[in-house]
Amino acid sequence: MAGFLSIESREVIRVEVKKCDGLLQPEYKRFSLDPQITSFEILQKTLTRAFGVKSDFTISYLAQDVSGQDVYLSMLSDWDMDAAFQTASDPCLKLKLDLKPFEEGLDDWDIIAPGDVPQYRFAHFIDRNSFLSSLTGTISSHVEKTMSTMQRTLGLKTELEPQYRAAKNPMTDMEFHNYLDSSGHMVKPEEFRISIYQGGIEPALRRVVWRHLLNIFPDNLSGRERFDYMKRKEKEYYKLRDQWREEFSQGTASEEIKYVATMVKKDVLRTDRMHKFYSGADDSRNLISLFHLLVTYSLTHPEVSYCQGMSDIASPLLVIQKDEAQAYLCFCGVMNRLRSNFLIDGEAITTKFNHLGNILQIQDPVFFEYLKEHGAQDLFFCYRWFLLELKREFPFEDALYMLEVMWSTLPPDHPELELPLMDPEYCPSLLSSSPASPTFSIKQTVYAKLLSLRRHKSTISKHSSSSDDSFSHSSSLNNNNSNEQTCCANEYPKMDAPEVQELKEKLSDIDQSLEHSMSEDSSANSSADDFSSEKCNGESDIGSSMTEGHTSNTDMEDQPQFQISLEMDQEERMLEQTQRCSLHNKQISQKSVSTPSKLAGGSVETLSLQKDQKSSDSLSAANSQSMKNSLVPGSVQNTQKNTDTSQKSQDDLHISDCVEVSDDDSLDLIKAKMNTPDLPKPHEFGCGNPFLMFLCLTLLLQHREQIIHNKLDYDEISMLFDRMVRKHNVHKVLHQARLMYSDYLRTQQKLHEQEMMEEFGVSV
Amino acid sequence: MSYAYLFKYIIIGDTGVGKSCLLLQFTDKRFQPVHDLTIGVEFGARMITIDGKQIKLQIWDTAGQESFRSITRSYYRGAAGALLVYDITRRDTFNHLTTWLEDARQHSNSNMVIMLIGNKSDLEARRDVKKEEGEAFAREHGLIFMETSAKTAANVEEAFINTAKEIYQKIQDGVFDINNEANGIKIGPQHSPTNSSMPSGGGGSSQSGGCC
Repeated sequence: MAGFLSIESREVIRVEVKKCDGLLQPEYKRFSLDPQITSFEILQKTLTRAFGVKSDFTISYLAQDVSGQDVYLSMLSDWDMDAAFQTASDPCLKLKLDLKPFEEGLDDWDIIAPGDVPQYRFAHFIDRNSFLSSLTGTISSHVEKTMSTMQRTLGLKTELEPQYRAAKNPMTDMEFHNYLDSSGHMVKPEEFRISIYQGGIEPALRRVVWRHLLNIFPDNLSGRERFDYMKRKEKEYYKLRDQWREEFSQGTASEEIKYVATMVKKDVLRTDRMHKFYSGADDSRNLISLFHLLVTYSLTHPEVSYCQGMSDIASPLLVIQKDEAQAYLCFCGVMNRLRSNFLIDGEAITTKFNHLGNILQIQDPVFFEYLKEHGAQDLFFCYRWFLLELKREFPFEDALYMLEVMWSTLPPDHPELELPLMDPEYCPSLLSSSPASPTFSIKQTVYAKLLSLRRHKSTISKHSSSSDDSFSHSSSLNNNNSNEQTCCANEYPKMDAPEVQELKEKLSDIDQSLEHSMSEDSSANSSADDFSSEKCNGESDIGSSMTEGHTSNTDMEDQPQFQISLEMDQEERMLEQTQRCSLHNKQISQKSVSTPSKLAGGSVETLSLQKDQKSSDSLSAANSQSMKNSLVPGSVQNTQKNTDTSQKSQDDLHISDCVEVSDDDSLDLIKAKMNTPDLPKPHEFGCGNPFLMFLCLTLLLQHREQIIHNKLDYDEISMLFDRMVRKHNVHKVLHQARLMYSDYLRTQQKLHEQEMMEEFGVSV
Repeated sequence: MSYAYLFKYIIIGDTGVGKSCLLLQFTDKRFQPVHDLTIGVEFGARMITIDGKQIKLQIWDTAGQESFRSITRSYYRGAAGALLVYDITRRDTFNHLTTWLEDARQHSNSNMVIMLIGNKSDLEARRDVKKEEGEAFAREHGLIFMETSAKTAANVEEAFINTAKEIYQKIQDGVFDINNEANGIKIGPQHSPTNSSMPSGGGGSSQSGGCC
């Protein structure tokens, strides 16, 4: 007992930690902790942060055995930790932290065929499960205080003000697997998204999870099917890419390709170059990948072509995917939603400006009036926010978190059959400058864009090529698509000989290395493999790529099989799915909105919002369809897509709101009052991204005092926000945006219920 | 920081001609080849002295390729001076001057002073547009002309300051109505007793790296 007493009287225990990571040089850190308020869980978390550990680790402490020999004893629990405090903390507790190559390859968990894993692994990972889930427990404010004290002791940046902490820890591997069944089907898409909404994703897991968030997979694929799908789509990408690269290397590329390439090159060379991933030489591999990706997209999507801003959108995708083809798929997923931002008609951006103005007027009429007085109600200073979906408003790593939270609020939008990697009007034969080939419609896009812009053209001529099988005929160089000739080429300045000459001469680093690499890997995608295995970001745990890690069976056996821990037998699964679906259908058939509120502690509330349907006809159509398919999970969404692919009028949106770990109301929050019915419905608001509107609104409101108090004029307001580039506090912004967003959803839900009642004149 | 006048400038021209680099060289006196590509508009500011008067230049550095048309009008709104930039090593950027000029004339007030700038004069070996061509274009369209290098800083000060001198002269000549802010000129706090409390420095000057 004497020991306990002496411990309790001690205020501080000095700790020295040695981090061992394979053959790497050990790292040391020293800090002190308060034994009264430190639990084992806190200690683990502290160490995780102190060393920036991204994988599993074990902790042991230096003690003396009976013979007085130094020996490391493992520390697995609070009990062990207390023992260590009592017996081995004088004068200093020496801890050893051993990293395990635990995460390696795990980011590709979803492509591993299940079932061929020895059973003993099962128990092994159950242990891990409990270990990891203990890290995701709730955090009391007491713990928070300790954490921040310890962080300060450790000299870590205390970047989070505790009151802005998200309700949940970032999604871990273990958690992720809870949303899948044993063969890797995504079975809990709502919970999956809600979790990300609440706390984001662990960096090492982003690579896999982003693919789900960005809708690159058709619905209801198993892990194996996703793997095959990815392989196929990667090949498809490389084929598309190599079509224009071949023209390039043979010197037969049309001027238009060269023009796009020149523009993309210019921008790639100045996109996120401060980030480690892109900080290499101008012809370094990652830059070339970004270049390839963007040129391929621009050429295969002639209606959009290339526009500034696209490199900012693509950059984080490549940083996370670390593979050109995979990043391309993600980029297509993002651009499906964002391409309208880049069209010359400017409709999407205009709508967003209008919506933001509306909500600001509702939310803060005083501020809106102030802006109006200063001629700033156009809110044009928010332009970059919309175009890049706030990617540049936060520090890079924070932007990743913000992006995934925002994506999680968007209803799933799986490609019906496959993610298209090109526009239907794309035709590879147009890439060539050979005399026989027709004018490529790029001329009407890139040039049109640059020049017609300045001539106030509000529309861009769309050229629909009849060749919808364009992908299959790569050898048809002299294919004459007569309808491509109809373009008004003389409206745009001809690329005269000097210009062509000039362009040829100016093909610098990227182009050279491009041709160089072309000759290097003429056989499709070998370059992609070694590219993805490159440890670009110093994150060894993400280094192993899909292609590397899983093409051989031996590798596969070495992969930890997480989903096995979730295995239940087939019948159970069917039953569960049936229940889920019938519940789903019930919701729809009653046109009601379910609100499973768990307001016990006032901490977590789940809103389930069925978006409004435009006509009762389409509703009943979808309804009867979905009844037929009631055994297939996700059939409701599929049906909706089939009914109306262009207008997602019946999107299913399930968003949970978390009132975050925050019990103080001293936040400088303007009390959210989204109770006016004037706001557009979720699928319209912000062009289908209402959460973006609330993020933007938050940025505005967080500076309203400064603006009004200092009487800033239009120019000064613009400059203020320009200065805030990459400087906003992501946690503070997300916190406030979530609060307002949940208010909005609640109101929308009530409105929806009212509409239901009115329409049917009955209460259920 | 008090000033007699504030002039609003806008920098325009094709993408990649060095607009942001010119601005940075002028405000921070440094050349940073790797720079975020401009989306929308970015800002810079610096104080200069003309005729013994402190003049604050507030510079709007615009994107060379802007897909959202309506916003460009707001950039021109109230600009007293414009730097129209091309790259002497890329003829296409010179060829596009006419459209830029039309754009500028259409959206700005008629008194806006336009300075034509042929940038990257340090890359003489790769020159694609003769100096005489730039001069001829400027003469034809009534612009001031200079060749600059944002890299070596050659003529950068002069380009910004000469534009300011021209604007200043127009004020002296009574061409600009300085009481109309739509002309891109504001009178500094100490010159306007009516709004002496205006915290012009509150948001305006603190962001200008190295100004004043």
